Parts: sequence; structure tokens; C-alpha cells
Amino acid sequence: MQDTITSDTLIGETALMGSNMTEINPQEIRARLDHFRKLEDGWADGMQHASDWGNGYGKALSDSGLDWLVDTFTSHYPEDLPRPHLYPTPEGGVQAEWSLGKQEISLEVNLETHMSHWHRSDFTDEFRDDHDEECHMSLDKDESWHWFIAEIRHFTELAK
Amino acid sequence: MNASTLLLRQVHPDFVEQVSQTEELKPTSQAFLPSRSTKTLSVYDGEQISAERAWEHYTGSQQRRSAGVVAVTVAECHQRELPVLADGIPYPEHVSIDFSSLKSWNQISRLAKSLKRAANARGWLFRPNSVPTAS
Repeated sequence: MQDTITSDTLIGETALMGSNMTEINPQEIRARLDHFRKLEDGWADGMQHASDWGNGYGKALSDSGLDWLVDTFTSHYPEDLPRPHLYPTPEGGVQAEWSLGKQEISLEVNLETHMSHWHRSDFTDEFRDDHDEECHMSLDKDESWHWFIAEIRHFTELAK
Repeated sequence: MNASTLLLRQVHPDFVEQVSQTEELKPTSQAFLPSRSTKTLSVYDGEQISAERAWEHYTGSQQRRSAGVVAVTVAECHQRELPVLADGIPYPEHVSIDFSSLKSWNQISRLAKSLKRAANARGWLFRPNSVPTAS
């Protein structure tokens, strides 16, 4: 399931600050992801370097990909865990982001392939990245969901 | 510019989301992620232009969409070994934060998250009265 892990974890060794993220409401998740259907090609123009402004930046998100993500996210992600920030990426995907104390976690989802990129940055020491962690996993596999939900639960508990 | 100069970053309306009524509205790390092609981030020199005027420039003559302005300092970039270049192109107050020396996208992603934390600790420098909604 974890195709690559580039560095080890610090489970249980970090002192984490609290999080004020809220538990999820499936209707809110659906509404947020449905909102991305309105984005057209070029929606993010201005976020790239200014020398490229006006040349188009930001790919529209596919309806079928959003249908899949709405269904799989609301059916797998537990309601008692913190609701991630959800936002579109210029590459036409969706990124979920959690700030859990000193941990910054992102899950970038490819709506076409259903592959995802998990990246956890540990800011216990601002200038050391040797405890960061990343992996690529298919969100079509239940074991991927089980693994990353366990990670979110673990760091949510540590952040309390 | 000096170490304490604020580097003003515009935040796209789709890169902010309030997930609870008690949580303050904050940018996500995407606001500090450079494009994969240039690996440079455009900001305004806060000594040459105020946050409000920068927002007016960006959303007015440049016709871009911004939910507001946040900032990191030159020192915060240098602490993360990110070069800051006051290039003045394509407008006089333009500054580039250069991520191009980083070897992996994971390193870039970490620094985007790190800059986001620094900017969010500082808070919004400007938000319009009528906040643009996400498209």
C-alpha cells in the first residue's frame, strides 16, 4: 500500500499543540467538492509567477473524478476525525490538508488515476525535515484508507 | 529591502476555507506553493507598496482574484535558504522567492507549509470588506 516511505516517523516522540479543527459533516464535504465543478481552465491564473500571468494556469477538475471523490471520501472518512481543508490544485486535482499541532499533513488526489500523494511535515523542529514522511497510494484500495485514517487519528490524539 | 521587509502574497479565494465557525479563516499551503514549471513565487515588496495597494493592483489592473494579503519576511525566507530576488519585473514592486535549488517536490511542499505557518502566525495584512467568494 505504501509504495514509498522516504523517512521515518516520530510517533510518540513529539510534543504537539492543540488543534481546533472540527469534525466532519458529509454534506459539507459534498458541498465543498461540488463547488469545484464550477472551476474552468485557467481558474488559478495569478497564482503562478507573474511573468506567466494571462497565459492560463489551473486545470478544470473532472466531474466524474469529483463524483468518485465525493463518494469515496464520504463513505470512508470517519465523522469523528478532523475535517481537512479541501481545495483544488492547479493540476486539476484536489488536496486535503490537516494542521494537527506541529504536523502539517497533505493528501493530494489525482482525480483521473485515483492515486494520492501523502506528505506529512513535522515542524517539531522548524528547520529539520528528516522526520517528514511521504508515500503514494491508491484510494481505490481500502487498505490505503485504513492506513491514512489511522495516521490522522494518531496525530489528532497527539495534538490534544 | 532588509531582513524585516514584508513580502506580500496574494491568496486565491479557493485556497482559503473556513471549516468551522470557531476557526479563523486562514490560507492553505497552496497559497505558498510555486508553479511546477518556474519554481518561483511572486510577491510584492512591502516597503514599496502597502498590502491594500498591492491587493488593488492585483485585482484591479491585473484582473486577478484574491481573498486578501498575507506575508512572510525576507529573513523568514533566508532562514529556509530560499533566495529572494527584487527583480522589479513585470511591475516595480515585484519580488521573486526562488525554490528552484530544491531537489524534490517534497522539499518544496514542506517549505510551502512552513511559509504558510509563518504567514498565518502573522495573520492577514489586508482583507477586502467584500470578500471575493471562491469561483
